[in-house]
Amino acid sequence: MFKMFSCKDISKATCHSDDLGLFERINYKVHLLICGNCRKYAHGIEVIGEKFTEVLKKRRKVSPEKVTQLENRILDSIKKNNGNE
Amino acid sequence: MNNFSSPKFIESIKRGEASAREDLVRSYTSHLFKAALGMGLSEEQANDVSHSTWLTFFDVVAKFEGRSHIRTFLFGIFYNKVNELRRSNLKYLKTDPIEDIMESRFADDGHWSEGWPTSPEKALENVQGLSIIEECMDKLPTVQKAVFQLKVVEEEKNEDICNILNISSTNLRQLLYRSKTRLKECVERKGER
Repeated sequence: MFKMFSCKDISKATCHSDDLGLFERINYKVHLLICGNCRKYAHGIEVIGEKFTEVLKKRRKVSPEKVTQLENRILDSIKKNNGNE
Repeated sequence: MNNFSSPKFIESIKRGEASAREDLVRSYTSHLFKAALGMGLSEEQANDVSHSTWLTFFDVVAKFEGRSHIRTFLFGIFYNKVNELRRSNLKYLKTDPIEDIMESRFADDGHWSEGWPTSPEKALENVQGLSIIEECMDKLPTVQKAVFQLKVVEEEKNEDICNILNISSTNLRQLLYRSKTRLKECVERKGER
């Protein structure tokens, strides 16, 4: 039977809103349309997700030289390992 | 560049051909290094983890059956290494404290309780916003951080994330829920101070 999402369901669905089936998606959108509280919550989760991504991207910045040095060290030790086999 | 999925390439990797190995190492080391930094490791640790991921990879690649992409196989090894280093638990846990907290925010009929939900925006408005996020992020369990990084930053497909972390698609949804909800909760609590 088709059951409307409760606010509690929405608080979960909004964390993976890109990954909802067709009925879930309609259910989700209709609920947000009529429920201000859930719109507020969904927006909060979205903002958190954006900031989380921003911090991760900032942390992940690295110079290409450092990567090349690392690659060379790795390739060296693989070659050495191979020689020992 | 080689097609890393082709059986011919996989065979040459298994045989230990130097040029195939070099292709692979040059293609994915920056991914590993960045992912390690994203997980909050220091540069030195990120170097070590990337390095030892490759050593293990070439040790065990003979067992690779080709059911997933070779990168998925590599990243599976990587996240286990991060986990060892962190002495954390990469396994999906049945419960998480945030679930009880969220449970208390709702009335029996599934509506929000009086006074909820709250918003994280005020806490993030001031200059310390991003540092609060960082502080809260570092408190997340390794597996929750890993899921978020793979999904949102690396933009991996759900199926691949499940393979890398050895979890089901239901677990994946639940872990995304836990990570974002915990982060929101933590940010709002710190913002109150």
